[in-house]
Amino acid sequence: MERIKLLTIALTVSNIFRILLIAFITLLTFVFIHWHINPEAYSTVKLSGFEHSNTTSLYTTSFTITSTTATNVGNAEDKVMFLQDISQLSLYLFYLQSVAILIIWIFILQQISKLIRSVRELQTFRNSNSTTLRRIGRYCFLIFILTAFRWAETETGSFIGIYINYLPVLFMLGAFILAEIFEEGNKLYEAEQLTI
Amino acid sequence: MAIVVNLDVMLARRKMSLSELAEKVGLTLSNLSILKTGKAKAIRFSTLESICEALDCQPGDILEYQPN
Repeated sequence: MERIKLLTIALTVSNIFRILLIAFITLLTFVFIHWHINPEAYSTVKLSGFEHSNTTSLYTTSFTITSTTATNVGNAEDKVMFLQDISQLSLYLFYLQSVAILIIWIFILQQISKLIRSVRELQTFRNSNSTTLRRIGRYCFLIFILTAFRWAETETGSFIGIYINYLPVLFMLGAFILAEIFEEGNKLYEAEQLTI
Repeated sequence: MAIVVNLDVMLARRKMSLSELAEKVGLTLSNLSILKTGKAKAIRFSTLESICEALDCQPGDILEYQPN
């Protein structure tokens, strides 16, 4: 009973997160469209993630290159990027990259919901679950790829960032290992079913 | 598999149908069919005992080892 309650809570949380992500994508798209209509409204919006940093932390290693051709901006590393400054192409790329990551998160949550539902129905060690876990692993790899680079171009310079995020890779490995475990479980289940 | 199930031979010798045996042994017809067709991965001693009792035979009459 306690187990089913916990699984139901996990399922509800994953559904809520999915709805929130869809709402966030809608909002982001709305802002993106509005920016085309009225770009002045976003003149003071600062873009995060375009700061100069060559760091290594527990979760990420990043390398960034900032170049500038302007003479009055001083140190390129201190330059803050505003939404109105960056070129249309880099903004499109930034939008597509962000939306793609959010959509992949929705897919991951969808697969997790599927997994939780099968565990709740006592259908844990089935072939479909190992396929689901492999799919989650592939989605994690896509997130790793999509968060690995960031590029922005302004009239006065450009920004290139390369990021190695360890968390998606670790999740990917975890998902693939779990997929193998589930496959072994499925084999045992099938053998049990064929024991007369 | 090297283990061959000769359940159909024993059933013919005893002039008994599969459904009759299923009723006597207390197994489902589908499970007995799996056993008869050699699709089963394993057999419990309790099942073997019931089959032997119902067919009045020895385990060796039902199971046979044939090297590949």
